[in-house]
Amino acid sequence: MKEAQDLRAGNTVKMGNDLFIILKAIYNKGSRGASSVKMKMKNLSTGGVSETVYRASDKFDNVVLDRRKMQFLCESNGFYTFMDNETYEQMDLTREDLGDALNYLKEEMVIDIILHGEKAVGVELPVHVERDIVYTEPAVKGDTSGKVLKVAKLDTGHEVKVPLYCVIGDKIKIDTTTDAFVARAN
Amino acid sequence: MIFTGIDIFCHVIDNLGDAGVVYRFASEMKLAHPACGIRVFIDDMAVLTNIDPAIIAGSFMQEHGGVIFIDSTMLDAGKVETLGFADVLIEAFGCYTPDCYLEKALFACPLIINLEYLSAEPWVEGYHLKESLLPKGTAKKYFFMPGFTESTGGVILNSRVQRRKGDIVAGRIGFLNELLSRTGMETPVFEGQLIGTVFTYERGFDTLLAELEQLNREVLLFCFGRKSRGGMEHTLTRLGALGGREPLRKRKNISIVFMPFISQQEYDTLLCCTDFNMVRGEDSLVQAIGAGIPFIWNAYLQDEKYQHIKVEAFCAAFQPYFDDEKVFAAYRKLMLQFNDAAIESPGRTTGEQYRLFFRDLEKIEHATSKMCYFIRQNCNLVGKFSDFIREFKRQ
Repeated sequence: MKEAQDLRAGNTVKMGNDLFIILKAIYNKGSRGASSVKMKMKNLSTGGVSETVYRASDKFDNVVLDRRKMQFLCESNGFYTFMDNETYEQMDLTREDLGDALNYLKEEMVIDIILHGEKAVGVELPVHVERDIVYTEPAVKGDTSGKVLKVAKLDTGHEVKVPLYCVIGDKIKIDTTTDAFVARAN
Repeated sequence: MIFTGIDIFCHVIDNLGDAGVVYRFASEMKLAHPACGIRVFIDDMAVLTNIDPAIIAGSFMQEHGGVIFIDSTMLDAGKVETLGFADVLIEAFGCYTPDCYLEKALFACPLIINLEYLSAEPWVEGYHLKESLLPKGTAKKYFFMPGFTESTGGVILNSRVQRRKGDIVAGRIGFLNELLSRTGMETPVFEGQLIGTVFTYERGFDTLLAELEQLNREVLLFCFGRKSRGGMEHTLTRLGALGGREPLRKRKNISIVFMPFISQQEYDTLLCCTDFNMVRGEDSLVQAIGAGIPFIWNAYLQDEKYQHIKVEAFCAAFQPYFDDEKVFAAYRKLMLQFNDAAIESPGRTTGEQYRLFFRDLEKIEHATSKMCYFIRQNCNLVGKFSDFIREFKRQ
């Protein structure tokens, strides 16, 4: 069993007789510890996608599906092509299948593809990835605490919050489950 | 009638907030839908006695104002069988319904709603009325998110106070004197006095009193709750209270009355009879806006000062109602400083913002009245809740 707050994109849960893959999970802190998690989930039987909300402590029957390491090759007409580097077999996923993984996906990146039977249904990113900052406001001298944050655009186009001391060209380590800055990597 | 019954479960974490909101929700739903059976299952009945003195702790089931209150700690499978189920189950603030009730309710109640805490944060809109899939049963579950915009679940104003506000304000001196007389005080309230209420979490009041001393006006503060009283007494000990007899303390032009708990109805009425209010938690914040009187909000203290996020979000929601940017900027600064000091110590420099607050009372009152008007028109939680159930039943 896993709590809602521990679920992330790529995890699969069983609800009744149906399997759902999590496409997106956003945690929000409420008052008095009553936090909640908003999840975009895809029913693997019907293909239907629903936007749902849970208490952070709600428990789920976590199901581990088969997965294969595959390399992202390219995107064409909304299809994202991945290849198994041992068998050279290719699989296509849609934007919806990829969910928030798109925020960090770069060509040549190797990630886990989740399989339901023979079909690729989603991906699971590593918890930490390193990406380059392509734009952010100039660094501010004096603040080294890392508590005050500013917006930075990554080389994937995604924006995250980083400490004021980060500059364009920095390689940073990010927690893909929360979008949180972890450290400078260069 | 759109539903025959609502069962509300409430777990009291601390203080009065959880019970207070649930009591208000139940009372207002009963007023709006008199034929609907409303039952409140609460695990700390004693807290409710502070809000409604007619409620008695220790009793399994009692009825007040048409609402049935049940001590959920005494609930078991046999009692659940006897009580039966309502067609709407509310889990207030993400609380867990006891298994002896929930196991059957998943099949017996068509609709389960998680009524969440109030927040002005922007993400709330995206969570409102989103479904929460259940692993078993036939019930559907949704999140209902209170908030200050049309796209949220709204807030619960005291409808009786809102209807009578004109009369309440006209009779304010009489009401205030009646409250004071209950404490044994004979000193009457008079026109021209600056009247305020103080109901906060733990903090000091050194700079507040220092600022009020400068106003060259008689000041009367109604101080509520153990935490406010503790903070105020510490401050008075440091500064030196010059006179007064329990429950009154006097220092220069300031009179402070330590009040016993009064009913929710009376407290809401009092908020309309003052010149400013210092309120704490979510429910008192809403009623302070409803009063249309300037207020300072003490948000529920959280780990890592998370209350700052809540206060910032509230200020952002309040900003559009201000006509003067400078007045808003000073007000926002005061709110943030006020929520930064868990215990205000001598020498903290919030004096400047208090000075601007008291200087700008009229402008802040104007902004508060505008926000009050907006939420009355567009953010009526009881109406939105009823509409949602009506729509659910129609489908």
